[in-house]
Amino acid sequence: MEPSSAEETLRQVELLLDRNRPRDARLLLKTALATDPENVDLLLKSAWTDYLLDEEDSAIATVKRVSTLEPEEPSARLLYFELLLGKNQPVEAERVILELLRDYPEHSHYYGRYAHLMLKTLNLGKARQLADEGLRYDSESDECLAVKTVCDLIERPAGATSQSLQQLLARHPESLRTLLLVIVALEERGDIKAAERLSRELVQANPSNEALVEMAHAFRIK
Amino acid sequence: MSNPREDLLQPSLSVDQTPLAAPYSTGATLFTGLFGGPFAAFGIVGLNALRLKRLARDVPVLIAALAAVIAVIWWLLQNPISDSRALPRLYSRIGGVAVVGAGYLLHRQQQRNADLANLQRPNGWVAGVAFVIAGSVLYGVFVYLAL
Repeated sequence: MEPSSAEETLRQVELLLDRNRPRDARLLLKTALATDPENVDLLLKSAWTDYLLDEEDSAIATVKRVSTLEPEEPSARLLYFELLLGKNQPVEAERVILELLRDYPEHSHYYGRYAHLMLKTLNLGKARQLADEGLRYDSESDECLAVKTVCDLIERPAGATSQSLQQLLARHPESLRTLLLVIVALEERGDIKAAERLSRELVQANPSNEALVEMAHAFRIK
Repeated sequence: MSNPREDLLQPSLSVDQTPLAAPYSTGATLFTGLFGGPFAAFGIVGLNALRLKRLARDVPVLIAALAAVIAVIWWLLQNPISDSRALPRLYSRIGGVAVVGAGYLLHRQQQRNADLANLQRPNGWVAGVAFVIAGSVLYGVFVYLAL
Protein backbone atom coordinates (compact mmCIF):
# COMPACT_ATOMS: atom_id res chain seq x y z
CA MET A 1 0.00 0.00 0.00
CA GLU A 2 1.43 3.37 -1.00
CA PRO A 3 1.99 5.92 1.78
CA SER A 4 -0.52 8.73 1.91
CA SER A 5 0.58 12.21 0.94
CA ALA A 6 0.56 13.22 4.63
CA GLU A 7 2.69 10.23 5.61
CA GLU A 8 5.16 10.98 2.84
CA THR A 9 5.30 14.63 3.94
CA LEU A 10 5.96 13.61 7.53
CA ARG A 11 8.74 11.28 6.41
CA GLN A 12 10.38 14.06 4.42
CA VAL A 13 9.95 16.49 7.32
CA GLU A 14 11.74 14.03 9.65
CA LEU A 15 14.62 13.80 7.19
CA LEU A 16 14.86 17.59 7.01
CA LEU A 17 14.80 17.92 10.79
CA ASP A 18 17.52 15.26 11.10
CA ARG A 19 19.59 17.39 8.74
CA ASN A 20 18.93 20.46 10.92
CA ARG A 21 16.76 22.19 8.31
CA PRO A 22 13.68 23.17 10.30
CA ARG A 23 12.75 26.13 8.05
CA ASP A 24 12.57 23.84 5.01
CA ALA A 25 10.56 21.40 7.09
CA ARG A 26 8.10 24.13 8.01
CA LEU A 27 7.66 25.16 4.36
CA LEU A 28 6.89 21.58 3.44
CA LEU A 29 4.36 21.30 6.26
CA LYS A 30 2.71 24.58 5.29
CA THR A 31 2.19 23.27 1.75
CA ALA A 32 0.76 19.98 3.00
CA LEU A 33 -1.56 21.70 5.48
CA ALA A 34 -2.94 23.93 2.73
CA THR A 35 -4.58 20.83 1.20
CA ASP A 36 -5.21 18.94 4.47
CA PRO A 37 -5.72 21.60 7.15
CA GLU A 38 -7.20 19.34 9.81
CA ASN A 39 -4.65 16.55 9.68
CA VAL A 40 -3.63 16.18 13.33
CA ASP A 41 -0.24 14.59 12.59
CA LEU A 42 0.73 17.42 10.24
CA LEU A 43 -0.51 20.06 12.67
CA LEU A 44 1.41 18.48 15.52
CA LYS A 45 4.62 18.27 13.54
CA SER A 46 4.11 21.88 12.47
CA ALA A 47 3.72 22.94 16.11
CA TRP A 48 6.89 21.09 17.17
CA THR A 49 8.78 22.63 14.24
CA ASP A 50 7.65 26.13 15.26
CA TYR A 51 8.82 25.32 18.78
CA LEU A 52 12.25 24.35 17.45
CA LEU A 53 12.35 27.65 15.58
CA ASP A 54 11.46 29.57 18.80
CA GLU A 55 8.17 30.72 17.23
CA GLU A 56 6.26 30.14 20.41
CA ASP A 57 3.11 32.08 19.63
CA SER A 58 2.61 30.20 16.38
CA ALA A 59 3.32 26.90 18.14
CA ILE A 60 0.78 27.68 20.87
CA ALA A 61 -1.89 28.56 18.31
CA THR A 62 -1.29 25.28 16.45
CA VAL A 63 -1.22 23.20 19.64
CA LYS A 64 -4.55 24.67 20.67
CA ARG A 65 -5.97 23.71 17.31
CA VAL A 66 -4.75 20.14 17.80
CA SER A 67 -6.35 20.13 21.25
CA THR A 68 -9.75 20.98 19.80
CA LEU A 69 -9.43 18.14 17.27
CA GLU A 70 -7.88 15.59 19.64
CA PRO A 71 -7.95 16.79 23.25
CA GLU A 72 -6.19 13.71 24.65
CA GLU A 73 -3.24 13.74 22.25
CA PRO A 74 -0.23 13.35 24.61
CA SER A 75 2.44 14.82 22.34
CA ALA A 76 0.38 18.01 21.93
CA ARG A 77 -0.12 18.24 25.69
CA LEU A 78 3.61 17.76 26.29
CA LEU A 79 4.43 20.47 23.76
CA TYR A 80 1.93 22.78 25.45
CA PHE A 81 3.73 22.13 28.75
CA GLU A 82 7.09 23.02 27.13
CA LEU A 83 5.63 26.21 25.67
CA LEU A 84 4.16 27.26 29.01
CA LEU A 85 7.55 26.64 30.60
CA GLY A 86 9.17 28.84 27.97
CA LYS A 87 6.58 31.56 28.58
CA ASN A 88 7.30 31.41 32.33
CA GLN A 89 3.84 30.23 33.30
CA PRO A 90 4.82 27.58 35.86
CA VAL A 91 1.42 27.20 37.55
CA GLU A 92 -0.38 26.33 34.30
CA ALA A 93 2.59 24.20 33.16
CA GLU A 94 2.30 22.18 36.37
CA ARG A 95 -1.42 21.63 35.78
CA VAL A 96 -0.72 20.28 32.28
CA ILE A 97 2.09 17.92 33.31
CA LEU A 98 0.10 16.61 36.27
CA GLU A 99 -2.79 15.72 33.96
CA LEU A 100 -0.35 13.89 31.68
CA LEU A 101 1.08 11.97 34.62
CA ARG A 102 -2.38 11.00 35.84
CA ASP A 103 -3.14 9.57 32.37
CA TYR A 104 0.32 8.00 31.92
CA PRO A 105 1.56 7.28 35.46
CA GLU A 106 4.56 5.18 34.35
CA HIS A 107 5.98 7.54 31.77
CA SER A 108 9.44 8.44 33.06
CA HIS A 109 9.95 11.33 30.63
CA TYR A 110 6.96 13.17 32.15
CA TYR A 111 8.40 12.72 35.65
CA GLY A 112 11.67 14.12 34.35
CA ARG A 113 10.02 17.18 32.85
CA TYR A 114 7.97 17.80 35.98
CA ALA A 115 11.18 17.49 38.00
CA HIS A 116 12.76 20.05 35.68
CA LEU A 117 9.84 22.42 36.39
CA MET A 118 10.39 21.91 40.11
CA LEU A 119 14.07 22.85 39.69
CA LYS A 120 13.03 25.98 37.83
CA THR A 121 10.76 26.91 40.74
CA LEU A 122 13.37 26.13 43.41
CA ASN A 123 11.55 23.06 44.75
CA LEU A 124 14.72 21.01 45.03
CA GLY A 125 13.43 18.22 47.27
CA LYS A 126 10.42 17.49 45.08
CA ALA A 127 12.59 17.62 41.94
CA ARG A 128 14.77 14.84 43.33
CA GLN A 129 11.78 12.76 44.42
CA LEU A 130 10.18 13.04 40.99
CA ALA A 131 13.42 12.08 39.25
CA ASP A 132 13.72 9.03 41.53
CA GLU A 133 10.14 8.05 40.76
CA GLY A 134 10.77 8.34 37.02
CA LEU A 135 13.88 6.19 37.30
CA ARG A 136 11.80 3.43 38.90
CA TYR A 137 10.00 3.04 35.57
CA ASP A 138 13.02 3.57 33.35
CA SER A 139 16.43 3.42 35.00
CA GLU A 140 18.06 4.90 31.87
CA SER A 141 15.82 7.95 31.51
CA ASP A 142 18.22 10.72 30.53
CA GLU A 143 15.75 13.37 31.64
CA CYS A 144 15.51 11.98 35.18
CA LEU A 145 19.25 11.30 35.41
CA ALA A 146 19.99 14.87 34.32
CA VAL A 147 17.72 16.31 37.01
CA LYS A 148 19.30 14.08 39.65
CA THR A 149 22.73 15.20 38.52
CA VAL A 150 21.75 18.85 38.89
CA CYS A 151 20.34 18.09 42.36
CA ASP A 152 23.65 16.41 43.29
CA LEU A 153 25.63 19.40 42.02
CA ILE A 154 23.45 21.72 44.11
CA GLU A 155 23.49 19.70 47.31
CA ARG A 156 26.94 18.18 47.47
CA PRO A 157 30.22 19.93 48.07
CA ALA A 158 32.69 20.31 45.23
CA GLY A 159 34.67 17.15 44.60
CA ALA A 160 31.89 14.74 45.52
CA THR A 161 31.05 12.33 42.70
CA SER A 162 27.55 12.26 41.28
CA GLN A 163 26.42 8.72 40.57
CA SER A 164 23.72 10.09 38.32
CA LEU A 165 26.31 11.90 36.22
CA GLN A 166 28.30 8.69 35.94
CA GLN A 167 25.17 6.88 34.75
CA LEU A 168 24.44 9.65 32.26
CA LEU A 169 27.98 9.35 30.89
CA ALA A 170 27.64 5.60 30.61
CA ARG A 171 24.22 5.62 28.93
CA HIS A 172 24.04 8.91 27.04
CA PRO A 173 27.70 9.86 26.47
CA GLU A 174 27.12 11.93 23.36
CA SER A 175 24.13 13.87 24.57
CA LEU A 176 24.79 17.62 24.64
CA ARG A 177 23.09 17.89 27.99
CA THR A 178 25.37 15.21 29.48
CA LEU A 179 28.44 17.05 28.27
CA LEU A 180 27.15 20.38 29.63
CA LEU A 181 26.65 18.79 33.03
CA VAL A 182 30.18 17.37 32.87
CA ILE A 183 31.47 20.89 32.23
CA VAL A 184 29.56 22.20 35.24
CA ALA A 185 30.84 19.33 37.40
CA LEU A 186 34.45 19.98 36.30
CA GLU A 187 34.07 23.65 37.11
CA GLU A 188 32.61 22.81 40.53
CA ARG A 189 35.63 20.62 41.24
CA GLY A 190 37.97 23.47 40.31
CA ASP A 191 39.21 21.85 37.09
CA ILE A 192 38.65 25.03 35.06
CA LYS A 193 41.12 24.10 32.30
CA ALA A 194 39.37 20.82 31.54
CA ALA A 195 35.97 22.52 31.66
CA GLU A 196 37.16 25.22 29.26
CA ARG A 197 38.70 22.66 26.90
CA LEU A 198 35.51 20.64 26.76
CA SER A 199 33.35 23.74 26.25
CA ARG A 200 35.57 24.81 23.33
CA GLU A 201 35.21 21.40 21.71
CA LEU A 202 31.46 21.55 22.10
CA VAL A 203 31.35 24.99 20.49
CA GLN A 204 33.37 23.68 17.54
CA ALA A 205 30.87 20.85 17.10
CA ASN A 206 27.83 23.15 17.64
CA PRO A 207 28.86 26.63 16.46
CA SER A 208 25.27 27.91 16.19
CA ASN A 209 24.39 27.04 19.81
CA GLU A 210 24.34 30.44 21.55
CA ALA A 211 24.33 29.02 25.07
CA LEU A 212 27.52 27.07 24.37
CA VAL A 213 29.25 30.07 22.83
CA GLU A 214 28.36 32.16 25.89
CA MET A 215 29.67 29.48 28.23
CA ALA A 216 32.97 29.20 26.34
CA HIS A 217 33.28 33.00 26.39
CA ALA A 218 32.69 33.06 30.15
CA PHE A 219 35.55 30.61 30.65
CA ARG A 220 37.86 32.84 28.61
CA ILE A 221 36.97 35.78 30.87
CA LYS A 222 37.78 33.68 33.95
CA MET B 1 -2.12 5.46 54.70
CA SER B 2 -1.14 8.03 52.06
CA ASN B 3 0.29 6.88 48.75
CA PRO B 4 3.74 8.48 48.28
CA ARG B 5 3.32 8.65 44.50
CA GLU B 6 -0.06 10.31 44.90
CA ASP B 7 1.53 12.85 47.26
CA LEU B 8 4.14 13.61 44.60
CA LEU B 9 1.41 14.28 42.06
CA GLN B 10 -0.19 17.03 44.15
CA PRO B 11 0.43 20.52 42.79
CA SER B 12 3.17 22.52 44.49
CA LEU B 13 2.52 25.75 42.64
CA SER B 14 -0.70 27.63 43.18
CA VAL B 15 -2.50 30.53 41.53
CA ASP B 16 -3.19 31.90 45.02
CA GLN B 17 0.48 32.09 45.88
CA THR B 18 3.28 33.22 43.65
CA PRO B 19 5.92 30.51 43.16
CA LEU B 20 9.27 30.93 44.86
CA ALA B 21 11.19 33.76 43.23
CA ALA B 22 14.90 33.64 42.46
CA PRO B 23 16.92 35.44 45.15
CA TYR B 24 19.23 38.40 44.52
CA SER B 25 22.58 37.08 43.38
CA THR B 26 25.46 36.53 45.79
CA GLY B 27 27.26 39.34 43.98
CA ALA B 28 24.45 41.80 44.63
CA THR B 29 24.15 40.82 48.30
CA LEU B 30 27.91 41.03 48.79
CA PHE B 31 28.03 44.48 47.19
CA THR B 32 25.20 45.64 49.45
CA GLY B 33 26.84 44.28 52.60
CA LEU B 34 30.28 45.60 51.71
CA PHE B 35 29.16 49.15 51.00
CA GLY B 36 26.07 49.36 53.18
CA GLY B 37 27.23 47.61 56.33
CA PRO B 38 25.48 45.09 58.55
CA PHE B 39 22.05 46.77 58.52
CA ALA B 40 22.01 46.88 54.72
CA ALA B 41 23.14 43.25 54.59
CA PHE B 42 20.34 42.29 56.96
CA GLY B 43 17.86 44.06 54.68
CA ILE B 44 18.85 42.40 51.43
CA VAL B 45 19.29 38.93 52.91
CA GLY B 46 15.91 39.34 54.60
CA LEU B 47 14.44 40.28 51.23
CA ASN B 48 15.92 37.09 49.78
CA ALA B 49 14.28 35.12 52.58
CA LEU B 50 10.97 36.75 51.68
CA ARG B 51 11.37 35.87 48.00
CA LEU B 52 12.18 32.28 48.98
CA LYS B 53 9.15 32.17 51.33
CA ARG B 54 11.28 31.33 54.37
CA LEU B 55 11.08 34.57 56.28
CA ALA B 56 9.74 33.02 59.48
CA ARG B 57 12.52 30.44 59.46
CA ASP B 58 15.41 32.76 58.60
CA VAL B 59 14.63 36.01 60.43
CA PRO B 60 15.54 34.71 63.93
CA VAL B 61 18.91 33.52 62.60
CA LEU B 62 19.53 36.79 60.78
CA ILE B 63 18.56 38.85 63.82
CA ALA B 64 20.97 36.79 65.93
CA ALA B 65 23.74 37.32 63.36
CA LEU B 66 23.06 41.06 63.17
CA ALA B 67 22.91 41.37 66.96
CA ALA B 68 26.22 39.53 67.34
CA VAL B 69 27.93 41.69 64.71
CA ILE B 70 26.54 44.93 66.21
CA ALA B 71 27.60 43.84 69.71
CA VAL B 72 31.16 43.17 68.53
CA ILE B 73 31.35 46.48 66.67
CA TRP B 74 29.94 48.30 69.70
CA TRP B 75 32.63 46.77 71.91
CA LEU B 76 35.36 47.63 69.39
CA LEU B 77 34.18 51.25 69.20
CA GLN B 78 34.16 51.45 72.98
CA ASN B 79 37.67 49.95 73.13
CA PRO B 80 39.41 51.43 70.08
CA ILE B 81 42.63 49.79 68.93
CA SER B 82 43.80 53.01 67.29
CA ASP B 83 42.80 56.62 66.70
CA SER B 84 42.15 56.05 63.01
CA ARG B 85 38.89 57.59 61.84
CA ALA B 86 38.61 54.89 59.20
CA LEU B 87 37.92 52.21 61.82
CA PRO B 88 34.10 52.57 61.93
CA ARG B 89 33.95 52.26 58.13
CA LEU B 90 36.22 49.20 58.25
CA TYR B 91 34.05 47.59 60.94
CA SER B 92 30.98 48.34 58.84
CA ARG B 93 32.42 46.49 55.84
CA ILE B 94 33.55 43.50 57.86
CA GLY B 95 30.23 43.38 59.71
CA GLY B 96 28.30 43.66 56.46
CA VAL B 97 30.22 40.79 54.92
CA ALA B 98 29.68 38.72 58.07
CA VAL B 99 25.90 39.13 57.87
CA VAL B 100 26.00 38.39 54.13
CA GLY B 101 27.97 35.26 55.00
CA ALA B 102 25.26 34.15 57.43
CA GLY B 103 22.71 34.72 54.67
CA TYR B 104 24.78 32.70 52.23
CA LEU B 105 24.92 29.75 54.63
CA LEU B 106 21.13 29.88 54.94
CA HIS B 107 20.44 30.19 51.20
CA ARG B 108 23.40 28.52 49.49
CA GLN B 109 21.32 25.66 48.07
CA GLN B 110 18.75 28.06 46.66
CA GLN B 111 21.53 30.22 45.20
CA ARG B 112 23.13 27.20 43.54
CA ASN B 113 19.72 25.98 42.35
CA ALA B 114 19.04 29.37 40.78
CA ASP B 115 22.46 29.37 39.08
CA LEU B 116 22.23 25.83 37.73
CA ALA B 117 18.61 26.20 36.62
CA ASN B 118 19.65 29.43 34.88
CA LEU B 119 16.90 31.42 36.57
CA GLN B 120 16.57 35.10 35.85
CA ARG B 121 17.73 37.08 38.87
CA PRO B 122 16.08 40.29 39.96
CA ASN B 123 17.99 43.46 39.15
CA GLY B 124 20.18 44.03 42.20
CA TRP B 125 20.88 47.70 41.58
CA VAL B 126 17.62 49.21 42.83
CA ALA B 127 17.38 47.15 46.01
CA GLY B 128 21.14 47.24 46.53
CA VAL B 129 21.45 51.01 46.32
CA ALA B 130 18.34 51.52 48.47
CA PHE B 131 19.68 49.22 51.19
CA VAL B 132 23.16 50.76 51.00
CA ILE B 133 21.72 54.23 51.57
CA ALA B 134 19.36 53.14 54.36
CA GLY B 135 21.97 50.88 55.95
CA SER B 136 24.62 53.60 55.90
CA VAL B 137 22.27 56.04 57.63
CA LEU B 138 21.36 53.49 60.31
CA TYR B 139 25.00 52.59 60.84
CA GLY B 140 25.91 56.27 61.09
CA VAL B 141 23.35 56.71 63.87
CA PHE B 142 24.67 53.59 65.58
CA VAL B 143 28.28 54.87 65.48
CA TYR B 144 27.14 58.27 66.81
CA LEU B 145 25.45 56.58 69.75
CA ALA B 146 28.41 54.29 70.38
CA LEU B 147 31.06 56.98 70.45
